[in-house]
This record gives sequence, structure tokens and C-alpha cells, in this order.
Amino acid sequence: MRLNRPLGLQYLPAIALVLALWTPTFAQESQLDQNAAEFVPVAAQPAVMIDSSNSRISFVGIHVGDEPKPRLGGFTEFQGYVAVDAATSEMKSMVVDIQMDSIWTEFVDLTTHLKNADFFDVASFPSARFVSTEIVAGENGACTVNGNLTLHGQTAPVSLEGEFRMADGALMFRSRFSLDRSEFGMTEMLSGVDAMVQVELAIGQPTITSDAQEGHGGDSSEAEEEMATRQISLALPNMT
Amino acid sequence: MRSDLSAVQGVSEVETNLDDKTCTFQLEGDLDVDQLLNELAASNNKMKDWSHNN
Repeated sequence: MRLNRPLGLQYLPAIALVLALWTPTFAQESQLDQNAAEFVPVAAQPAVMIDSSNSRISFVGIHVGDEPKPRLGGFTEFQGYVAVDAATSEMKSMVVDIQMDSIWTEFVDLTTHLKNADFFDVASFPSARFVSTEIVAGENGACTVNGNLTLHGQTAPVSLEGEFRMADGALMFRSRFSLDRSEFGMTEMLSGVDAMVQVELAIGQPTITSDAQEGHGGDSSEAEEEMATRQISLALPNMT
Repeated sequence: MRSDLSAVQGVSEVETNLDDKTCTFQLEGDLDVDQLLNELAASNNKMKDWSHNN
């Protein structure tokens, strides 16, 4: 038997069912669009990765009394980065993590002593971290990196005044600053070892100026012949 | 001291002998030792008093 009604009406129930199922899907997509609108993309910015292959962290501590006997030390294992703005050649932020067990000095006994609870207590506090909070550029490459240093389990603000240079995508930063170890709970042996420690953070390797290289010139073969190795022996007057 | 020297291009095999209070290292090319030490002393003033045998 044929029904006498317009073509397609027989499909109305099926179309209604499809719409009923499709409408929630549309609503979900709208929700996703709304979430996407609220999602703030993370800006991709260049960063200089730093570690002991291209940077160094060293310090000089001195004894209290008439004979300061400065002692040089440093750390061989640390990692971090400096985020930079390539367009303006400015540093944006700096983070450095130091493995405290990598400490070194010129004396094995001193290195061992610095690792124990009298000083860094590396067993209890195996790492230190510096995180910048503000970088203030000055004139002629001068800059100050302010931030928080977590050392010996305590965090305190420090200010790294230094020199900064960035050219051809390469970064150099060097800062020497004083650190009061007592601010980080390192209060042992203050009568024997000064609380103030001179610290240096150098990003980038020092180079010797061309003025220090006498006799260079001519063709490359002559230069290669000049690359002989000499053994130099230095006397260390201050190592007593 | 050791790190100062080790960081210089052309310097290798830095060794400190605490018995005779000397530091020896290999130096490539014809770098002037006095000028090298003077430049390093700019960042580590202890180095300005060092003497050398070359």
C-alpha cells in the first residue's frame, strides 16, 4: 500500500534522531573552542644552556686573623640556562642548579671539610639553586641579576652585579659578588673562616687577547709549526 | 688557580704539587707566559705574585 504524502516525510523520524544526537556534539565543539580562546600560548624564546663546559662557578674564602690565607674553590657540576631576547640582546631570566658534591679546592682535606656539616653539609643539602627574579641592564654592558639563592637548605635574595655582552647569538656574563654564608645557616667556624665569601659566576670562557700572542703571522703552515707545547712550572707563593 | 688555567685555550694538563708548591701545565704555541698570568691575575689577584721558570 502506498501512502499519499509528500516525498521525504517518511524520513522525519530518522532526521529528528540524527539532530538529537548531533546537537550535543556541536555543543562539545563549542566548549572546546571556548577553552582554546582562554589558552595562552607559551612564547618560544631562545635560551643559552650553561654547564661546566662553557661556564664556571668559583669562590674564594678567607681565614679570620692576620693571615687570611685565601682558598680558591669551585664546582664542576652545575647546569642552568639564561633566557635571552634575541631581538633586543637582553637577558630575560637565569636559573642555575649546582651539585654541591662537585665542590673542589686546591686541597683534598679542605674539600672534604667543606662537604661536611661544618660548611655545605652536602649529604643533607645536595644541591643549590639560583633563580633570577629581575634583571636590570645598566650602561656599557653592566647589569644586575637579582634573584633567590637556595643554599644549605635556606633561601635568601642575592644580587649579581656583573658585565653582560651578547653578540652574534653568543652570550657572555661575568659577575663577582660577596655572599654572607651565615645568611644561609652556615654559621659554623665563623671565628676561623670569614662569613663573607667572594663568588664568581662566569658564563663564557676567557680568551687571551691577540696581544699576548707574539710572533704569529705568515702563512698557516708556519702557524701550525708554531703550535709546539711547552711545559711551564709556576711557583705558588700564597699556597702555604 | 687550576680552573683559571684550565679555562684558557692552549693550556692543558694542569697539575698542582703541594709538596714543592708548584703548578705545572702544558702551554701550546708561543703564548707569552707573563702576559698570560697578568691577564689571569685580573680575575684572581693571587696570580700576580706567581713566578715561573720559563
